[in-house]
Amino acid sequence: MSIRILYLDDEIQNLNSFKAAFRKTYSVFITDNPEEAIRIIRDEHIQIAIADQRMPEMTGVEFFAKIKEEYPDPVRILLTGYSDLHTVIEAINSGQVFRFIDKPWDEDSVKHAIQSAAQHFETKMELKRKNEELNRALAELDSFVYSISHDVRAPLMAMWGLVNVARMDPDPNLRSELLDYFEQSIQKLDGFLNSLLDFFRNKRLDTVIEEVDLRFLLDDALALHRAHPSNQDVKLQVHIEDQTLFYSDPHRLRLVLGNILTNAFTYQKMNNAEKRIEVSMVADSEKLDFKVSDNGIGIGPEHIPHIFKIFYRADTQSQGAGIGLYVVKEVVEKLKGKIIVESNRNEGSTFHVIIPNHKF
Amino acid sequence: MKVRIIILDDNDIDLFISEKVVNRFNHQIEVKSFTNQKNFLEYVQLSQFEEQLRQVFLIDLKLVGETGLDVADYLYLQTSIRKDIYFLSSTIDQRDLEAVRRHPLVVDLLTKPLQAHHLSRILS
Repeated sequence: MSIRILYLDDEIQNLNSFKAAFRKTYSVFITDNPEEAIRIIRDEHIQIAIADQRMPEMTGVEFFAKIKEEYPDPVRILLTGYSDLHTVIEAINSGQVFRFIDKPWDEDSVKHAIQSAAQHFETKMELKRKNEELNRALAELDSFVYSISHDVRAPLMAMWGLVNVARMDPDPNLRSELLDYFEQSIQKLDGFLNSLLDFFRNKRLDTVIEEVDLRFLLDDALALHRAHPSNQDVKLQVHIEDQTLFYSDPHRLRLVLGNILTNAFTYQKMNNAEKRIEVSMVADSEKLDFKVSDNGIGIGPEHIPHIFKIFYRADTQSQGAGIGLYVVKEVVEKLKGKIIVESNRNEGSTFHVIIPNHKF
Repeated sequence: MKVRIIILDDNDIDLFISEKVVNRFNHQIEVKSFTNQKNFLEYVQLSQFEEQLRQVFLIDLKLVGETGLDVADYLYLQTSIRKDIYFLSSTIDQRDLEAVRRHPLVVDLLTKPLQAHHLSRILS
């Protein structure tokens, strides 16, 4: 993509000759109006802003001072004659401008200034991206510490409590109940640790694109749930169209499928006589369309904006750690797909995932 | 005086443990347990007026949907209960502890699992 440059000057002739000289190499936007220049910076993702120092309404330095706060990203270059040397030195020293070009300009020195400004811009943007990533990682770490103290300790403390109960109450009838609870606590802890591992695997491992056997992937994800005794009364309807070869990261797809299906099975209405889950998977050369609908407990409108947040739990029936859907969202983002949720409390939910076909 | 311990905890296992511990500690103590805020509050609305009875509240701090602190707020605003309110939590997070200390109604935060020594301290 070519470098996007704004040039502000009160002399139309300068503007036109600048455009003529550089429009083939760069994307050039010109104007003689400072207000219009601000609009262009706002709307056109300008990387480099060049302004003439001597203009009737305001000087170039004043213009830069004006845009600096709101639009700090574009690198600023001042065009000026030697007579303004004092202004220029001050502008550079105070950080208002990155470079200055003396008038009348020649093509080579402008090109040179633009190249180094573009490099500077890239470095700045890279730093900004890294900072955002870092802040996000720190925020995640914070939530993790908090959640680990709760989600790891809670089942452990429950096990400790169960041991206490077993010690003080020798009633043999109590034994099987205690063991059931013990097992539940162990499963809960194990489930939490597994979802933590999923989360970090998605975070750290590179995406590996290969041909995906969608049918196998779905059967595999469904097999676990089908076998589970508590799901025997769930009516499952599966629709697959996988004639087109589909390329993506099968391990990450498995996470998406697995987590969404787990939710569909878990959040059924307990006493519903007609528990129902519909799964549809349609692949074409562009994308995979994966849709899971259930008639379970659904999600209230107040929770929907938050369900993809880490450690968010929407309901008392919720057994999970609040990581599953967060991982789904992260994976879908990584695979450059999107996810849409429709849900009504007591009526059920539909999770619709679209993943692009990463053909070679 | 008769003692009744009212427990609100949406975790079945923890609730089971708490009930057992109270029964074992003193089987004359009546235990009422709830997994859901609504039923708990409805019960308390009525039971607060019973006489010759000391009611002690053990509320799970991390209730899903609402926190234990919200429930304590409700008790403060909607009932005349002013004492014997305790929180249960499996973790002692500094932030939680401070929030609990700031609440005018709550006496203390007890670390799960509930144990006999907690009860001796509360009831002494």
